[in-house]
Amino acid sequence: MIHFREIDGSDFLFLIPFAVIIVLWTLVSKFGIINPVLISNPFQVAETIWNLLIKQTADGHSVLLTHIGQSYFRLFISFIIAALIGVGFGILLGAREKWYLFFNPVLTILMPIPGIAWAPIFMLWIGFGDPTIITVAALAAFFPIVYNTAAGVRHMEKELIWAARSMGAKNSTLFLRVYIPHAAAYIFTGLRLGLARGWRTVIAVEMIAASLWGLGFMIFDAREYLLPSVIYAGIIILAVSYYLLDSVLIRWIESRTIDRWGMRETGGL
Amino acid sequence: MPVDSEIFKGPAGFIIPIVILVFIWELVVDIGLISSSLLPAPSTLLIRATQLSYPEPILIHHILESLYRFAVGYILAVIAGIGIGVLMGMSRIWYKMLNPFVSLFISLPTIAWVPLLLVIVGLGDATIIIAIFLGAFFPMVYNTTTGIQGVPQQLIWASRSMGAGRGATFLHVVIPGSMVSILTGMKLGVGNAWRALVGAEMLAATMWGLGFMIYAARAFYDIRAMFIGLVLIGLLSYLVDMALIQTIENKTIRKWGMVRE
Amino acid sequence: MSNFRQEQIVAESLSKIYGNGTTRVVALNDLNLYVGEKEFVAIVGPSGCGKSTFLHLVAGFETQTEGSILLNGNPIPGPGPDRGYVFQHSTLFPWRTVKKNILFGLEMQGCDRNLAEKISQKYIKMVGLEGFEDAYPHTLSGGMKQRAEIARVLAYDPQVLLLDEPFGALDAQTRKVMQMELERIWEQDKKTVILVTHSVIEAVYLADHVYVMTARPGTIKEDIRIDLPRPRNYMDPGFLEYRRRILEQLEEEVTKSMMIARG
Repeated sequence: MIHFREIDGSDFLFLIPFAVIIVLWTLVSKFGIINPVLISNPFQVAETIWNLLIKQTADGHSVLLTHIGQSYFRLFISFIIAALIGVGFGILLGAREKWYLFFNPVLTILMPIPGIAWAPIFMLWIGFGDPTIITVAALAAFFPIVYNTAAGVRHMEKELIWAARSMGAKNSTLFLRVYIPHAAAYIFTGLRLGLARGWRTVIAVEMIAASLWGLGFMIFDAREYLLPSVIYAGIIILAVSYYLLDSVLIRWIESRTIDRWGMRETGGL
Repeated sequence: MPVDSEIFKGPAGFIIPIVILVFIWELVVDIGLISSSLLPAPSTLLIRATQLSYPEPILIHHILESLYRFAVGYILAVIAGIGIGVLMGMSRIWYKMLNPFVSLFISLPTIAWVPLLLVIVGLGDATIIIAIFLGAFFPMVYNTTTGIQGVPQQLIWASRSMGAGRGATFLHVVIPGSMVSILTGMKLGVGNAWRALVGAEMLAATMWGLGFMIYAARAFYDIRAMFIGLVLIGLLSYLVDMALIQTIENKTIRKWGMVRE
Repeated sequence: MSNFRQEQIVAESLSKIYGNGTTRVVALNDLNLYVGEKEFVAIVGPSGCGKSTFLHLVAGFETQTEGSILLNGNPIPGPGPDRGYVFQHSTLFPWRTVKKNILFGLEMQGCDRNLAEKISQKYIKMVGLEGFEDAYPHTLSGGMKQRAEIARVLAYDPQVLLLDEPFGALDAQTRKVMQMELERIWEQDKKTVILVTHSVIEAVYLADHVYVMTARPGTIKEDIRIDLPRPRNYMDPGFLEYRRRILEQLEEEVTKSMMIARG
């Protein structure tokens, strides 16, 4: 490995480009290099975030938090659906070779289709708003979950199954106590990829399925009113919130399960 | 795991299940189990596709437009991504400076950039291509960086002690040694780029492109055109993967036995 | 220990320290070692005693913290083709065939192509890898890989060979065969060799001098000259006596290093 030894001081080097960007950004907006209507300086963005936070909806909740909450709510629901169906179907495909051979080709073709491509069709079928957003996001998240789960179950050593059976395990026991833990690393990778995909799809579909709330909608809508500061605010919140979700929540779950079982695996796509 | 039926191997094994499913699909709609206004039969899709190709080659135009945008955005992203990735991989200072940004933006849905691009750049090709670029760029940088950092120190030492200078070592050892990661980045980049393409076309295209076609078809309730668009997107991204990525993989990491399988 | 200051490789009061504060590790401390030209020298010692670190210093991969290390009277400038290095685990480039790996050193030094071709053929033959010139490393067995490594490091004719447990990853039979091969090759074309090894038998079989290193921080404990005719016989009473002597010294150090490990 080309080793970079950690020293505390250099961890703050990222502030240099950060500062450069802030300075450039402020200069560009102040000197009107690009039409000032189109750019806002970082302070305006910070102010916008604050305003959105304290501005209240009809129900008396913060506008910003409602947007954020709506998006994550959709993510949550669609992910649960995708996870349940995806893991279930994935185990089925992994355990039964014939099923795998039959379904693998069509899954391979459908998986790379971006979630958002499905949206117009679903908009035609079930209309605008939450149902479409959640369904399409679930569909998008479904594929990596199935794919990785199946891969994990398929990669199991035959010996493990023989050993379990010879110790008297029935199919249901086999299912719970052998398949799931061993494939857990792969399943986890699939879930993580599915969550990321679901998130991207939620934001994207929010932009075209014209709901009233959601970060995607907020960003897209701001374009109509030429409010770039809202767009910047939205992007920053998107980046930060998912980054937090991933590094805090997911790493925490990983450390409690995968790492503890000593099964770090980089299997799957 | 041993398989009973030999038929299910190789290219036949890939096509046969799909053909069977298409048959079932056709049957289900023709019988009337599902209304054809909801789910068009494959045969009607073919008819519609022909309508869209003759006398006016509308379909091809959409396809080529999308491919053009994809190619420009993706190639630029690969070049820039590898370039910055190399910089960050080789230089600790640049790594520390840029990595926090890369990590932050890599998880940002690419489509979030589109409204911003719409405001600054406006509708049309430029916005779409920039979106595609952004989609592929970050995975390229990230994976190139980890690839370069992951080249075993001993290989570099071996190279230097055989008389190779720093430049020669970089060219002959570091780059081939990073190929696995670079290709992973390219794969991820393709996926992201397609997503960006479709999404950006839906939001920013004015006349042509598969994403635009699907989106616009909705206004006319042309569900068959929408399905055609979907199928084409699936096929095209599969083809790009096979033609581009697999070819490079076969010539490099598979030959060298470096595939992580 | 030899007192000749005109030896080819001279290490004096050598020390190497890593890290600082709580992570400070003294790998080598006040190490003195002398290697004459075309001498075959082995270094044995417990795990973690710094043998590889010393070899890295001679190779120029790392620089010492204190003391001096000279090659032909000059300080070590960094890695270079005058000192060939063989690592314990294969460092063959996976993206080059066996032949292209062997050609690497010659290529990098601008050797004429036809000449390089001839040289690589000679060494492929010498290590017994004929027929595998166009094979990629991932298709070779462990023993074959190490043979290719040896051919690669010999091809550009370095004056010094640094071998860091080159046969460590091989099974016992292959290992023995490789030791005999190395002996045979060295007899043909004598170079200065420093061999780091865990195996006392290997050291006695191959070396003119065996240096025993202490547990960390590493320094030289004993210099035992092996006065036996070559090629040596593993079962010869003289051989076994040397082996016993060295093992005795070594075991003391192994025990010490285990106590260090326990903290």
